[in-house]
Amino acid sequence: MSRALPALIGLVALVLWAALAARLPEVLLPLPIEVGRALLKQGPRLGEASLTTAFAALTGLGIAAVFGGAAGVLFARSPALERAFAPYTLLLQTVPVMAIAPLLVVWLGYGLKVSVCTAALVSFFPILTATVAGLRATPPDQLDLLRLYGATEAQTLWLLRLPSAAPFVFAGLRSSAGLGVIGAIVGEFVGSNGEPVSLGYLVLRSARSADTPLTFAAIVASTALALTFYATLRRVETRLIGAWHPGAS
Amino acid sequence: MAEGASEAAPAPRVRLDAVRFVWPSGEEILSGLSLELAPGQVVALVGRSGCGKSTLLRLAAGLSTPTGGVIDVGDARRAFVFQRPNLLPWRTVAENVALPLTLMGEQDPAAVASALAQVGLTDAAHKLPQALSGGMQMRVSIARALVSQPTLLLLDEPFSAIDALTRARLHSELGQILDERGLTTLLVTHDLHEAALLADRVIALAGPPLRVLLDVPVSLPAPRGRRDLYDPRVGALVHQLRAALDLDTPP
Repeated sequence: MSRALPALIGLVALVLWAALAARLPEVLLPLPIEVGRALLKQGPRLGEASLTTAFAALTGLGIAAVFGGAAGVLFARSPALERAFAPYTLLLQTVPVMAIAPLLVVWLGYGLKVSVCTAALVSFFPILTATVAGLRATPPDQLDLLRLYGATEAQTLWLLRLPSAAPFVFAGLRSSAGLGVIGAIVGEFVGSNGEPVSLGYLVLRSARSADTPLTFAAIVASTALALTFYATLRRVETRLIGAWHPGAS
Repeated sequence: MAEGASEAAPAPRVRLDAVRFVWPSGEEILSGLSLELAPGQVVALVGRSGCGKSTLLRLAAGLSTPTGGVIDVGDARRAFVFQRPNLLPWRTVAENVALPLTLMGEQDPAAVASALAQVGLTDAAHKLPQALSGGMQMRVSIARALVSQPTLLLLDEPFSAIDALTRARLHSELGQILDERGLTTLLVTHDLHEAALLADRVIALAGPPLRVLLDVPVSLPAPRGRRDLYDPRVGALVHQLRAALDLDTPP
């Protein structure tokens, strides 16, 4: 029953969507079958666009993981440093990426660089906060154990704090995976000229030309991309820490 | 209990002289406590929860710094067994046992194997801790404490979270290890029978600030087994400790 329920909810939503779409013009809400047709017809183009967006989102996520993780280690080690940089890291989280994207186009020009940057910007904060929280959640008894045997700071970080923080970091990465796709698409809205074709570009172009089935098809592809990232990270997490962290198995 | 430890480093004499410990909040836990443990002596500290005995153990371990006084453990190699097994869940049993050696920059698979054999866990070497029962995890924790060839062993209520049957088995195993190795040992426990079975000397404490209510030797030959629980001398000792700790009166 628990496995059938999500499918049932999806089916009901599809029926409701079809019922509503039948009463509205296609330009406002296309029938699910029309979206399916667009997916099939534009399959190669959507595939190419998905690859472009996936590349931008993954590169952005990678950059955010490196810098967010490193900043997390530094902040966890030094609360004074964290306090000094807190307003600026918070700024990254609170300033709408849509507002920054046009500036990035001015600075970096059109192309992938903009969407990589926006993906990195929105992915950075969850990774940073998760790393700091994870490193600070190391059980005190385990810290005492290492202290008892004269562990150096590097040994404590490598042998205890980082493995102990891994479940937190993976949770941050999973949150950032979805955000990274959104960030990349927002960057593509502003910074893509269609070379190479990307999901953000397709959404924008198809909406402008009232090709609503293609807009929906691109949205479906974006969602599938975010879900794939999430599921892949979940799988990596299970593979790496699932044996000892019950939440990851 | 020092027989059989001739190959290992000599067990240290532990001396606490007028030791004070005050929390930053101002609460005084130790106010000039003095205590001496002879080399190879197993001393049990018993007392009500919160009296400060675990703080005393942490001070002896070097995990807390005294506000005043002197703690002299000589050049003891210290090992600590925590209330919970405190194993690192991502490391296998053997890797957990090897942790003190890893931290000291040493590699000694034979010592790890020997420590695991001593607690009867050779077959579990490659398992992760969560695959073991609570009692087995505690035995891993004891093996980890023994692997670095300590001369001073500090145990903080090591069997408090373990069922009675496993505890009985662990008492016997630990008693044998202490007898073989001749380590100077400080054992914090709430279990007066455990104190009588494992220790050469039992100190009843009250506090804070921590003060000695009773300091008595245990006059039974070691190692002791479960049947010694029925020895009238154990009964008399437990009775004496209960009276000193006023355990028959609700707190």
